[in-house]
Amino acid sequence: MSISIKNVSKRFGKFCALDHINLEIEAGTLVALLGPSGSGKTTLLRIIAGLENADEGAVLYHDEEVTSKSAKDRNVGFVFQHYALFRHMTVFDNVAFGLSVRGWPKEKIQERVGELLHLIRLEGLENRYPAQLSGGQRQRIALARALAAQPKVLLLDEPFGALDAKVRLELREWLRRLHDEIHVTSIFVTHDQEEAFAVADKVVVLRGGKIEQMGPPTEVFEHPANAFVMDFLGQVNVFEGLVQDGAPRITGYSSIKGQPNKDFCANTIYVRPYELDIELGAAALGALPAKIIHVNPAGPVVRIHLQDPSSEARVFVELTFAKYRELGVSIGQMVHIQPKKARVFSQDYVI
Amino acid sequence: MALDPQSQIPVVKRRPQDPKWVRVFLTISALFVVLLIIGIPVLHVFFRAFENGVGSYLKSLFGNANTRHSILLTLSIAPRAVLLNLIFGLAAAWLIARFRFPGRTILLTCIDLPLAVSPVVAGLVFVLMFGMQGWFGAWLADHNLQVLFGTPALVLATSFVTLPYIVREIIPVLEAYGEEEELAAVSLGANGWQMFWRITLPNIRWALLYGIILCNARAMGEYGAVYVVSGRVSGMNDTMPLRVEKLFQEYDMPGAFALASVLTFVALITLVLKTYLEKNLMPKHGTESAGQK
Repeated sequence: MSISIKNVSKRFGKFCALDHINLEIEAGTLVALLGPSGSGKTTLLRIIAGLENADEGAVLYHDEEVTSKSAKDRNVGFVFQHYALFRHMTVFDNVAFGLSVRGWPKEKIQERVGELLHLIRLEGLENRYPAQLSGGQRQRIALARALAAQPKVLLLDEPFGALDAKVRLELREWLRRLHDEIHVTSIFVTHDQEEAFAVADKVVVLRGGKIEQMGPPTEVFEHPANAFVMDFLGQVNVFEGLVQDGAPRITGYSSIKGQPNKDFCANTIYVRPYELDIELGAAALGALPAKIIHVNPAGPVVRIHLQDPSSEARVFVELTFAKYRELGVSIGQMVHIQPKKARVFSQDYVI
Repeated sequence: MALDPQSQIPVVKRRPQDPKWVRVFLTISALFVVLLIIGIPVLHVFFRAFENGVGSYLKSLFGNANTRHSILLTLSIAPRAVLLNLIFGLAAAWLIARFRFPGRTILLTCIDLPLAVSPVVAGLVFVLMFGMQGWFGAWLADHNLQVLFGTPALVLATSFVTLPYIVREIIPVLEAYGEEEELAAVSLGANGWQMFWRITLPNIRWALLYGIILCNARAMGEYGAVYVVSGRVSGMNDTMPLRVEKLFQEYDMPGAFALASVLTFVALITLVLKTYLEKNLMPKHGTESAGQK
């Protein structure tokens, strides 16, 4: 079932959590709401679920207006960040809750719960209590509970936030596979861009209650709409430069420290660490001198930290291991850096 | 296993650093005070009650029609006061723990008022309201309704004095559990009633029971407020504490102590239950901490 969010706004006192959000979610897709804390992503999710009321605007489920319907009548599955399992109930009763409040007969509940526990691969844990489960198991029970009454929409609030790194990785792969199996329209909230890209069909980047960009993961990553999205989606190097013949060219290190979106001007150029090359020879046009200060060779990608010899400005470069071996650079060596690709963003984005 | 003495890390405890005489002195004085002002009087009540044997004890309790009536009256008033406070307590605790509204702090303070105000004043308030010279007195008399000196006034005065006990026990527990489980229940299709009976009530059941027990103990023992609104007519509106005092004034020592021993016994049972329940009050660790947004 598709979901439309039309002109939705929400304020908490003076704080504007959502500012006229418009969003279309196609049926059967898995969408990630991505943004830093305070960007309004959880508020938007709760408004879609009916757990929060929008100050203005409308929420439509497949052309049906549900804005004034309570969460109880919307038939959505909601997975809470901290699972919110009923701690005085067994796993079976937790999963069965949504069915028994709807008055399903006992045998059908038994059958459906068995089916769901099989789906989440936790058969045999029916009589355990939430306190006796691991974090990953609790998360899956929460998911099974949300799916029990065959909701039209599945909403997940930071579903993997409270898990350790390894379990998180497993569960997100599993969620993707599960979604491919059952095809329920799903929206999940995350602040982890990697998670959003790994799982979602479509990524919606939010900041300060506004949508900054939305689209398929590859498109958003390859063509960030602005400096904020670029920075949020991964590490970025900032340079001073100018646009010459329609192409950005680096002229020097930027004096801007930290987040590039804090200070933005047309002559600021953004380069991802893997879009920089290290050269040993004499300086070509657009290359900058740099001193290698740290090399992190762990894994297939070698991360090299460099510093401007005449200032404090730092640059990160990522090379493949083969390229690193070929260069044979060492700490303290003077080299040149040369961007393979660079970006400028239009000035209307000034904050 | 023999360890090199030098490799052993000395176990440092803070407490034994206080001089021994300080610890002994403090322990003995604490025990002495407890024995003097609590232990001996309580034992004395039972000693005096059973002084002349069990037969005489039962006779002074149940042989006297007025004493019997006072026991029944208290047994009928306390549960009603508890019930009123239960309904009010659940509603008020829910409101205070789950919502932020103007006047919330004032409501909280008002709930604590009965703890601060003298019960006699509470009783006087009801006399002022329902007495013949009071606001509703004439109207009630016209409609032939007896409030003051009757059971209604006794229940109201008792409820007033015991008002904070149940609310105060539930609020912290509701806050500790947070509202996520309740929201989860609603998102799963539960209506308000189903949510209350199946999620909220099971979570607060021990706190609720704890509050009921304390409230009941206080309701049975209430003297000041009840003294003012009751007519103190033996066999009509004398409750147990009032009856104890009356028997005492009438120099019926066996009767007074027998009835007092019943009240003391209720108190002891309350203490035992309270100690047992205290362990179960708060959410256990192991499940996630309540997510507060």
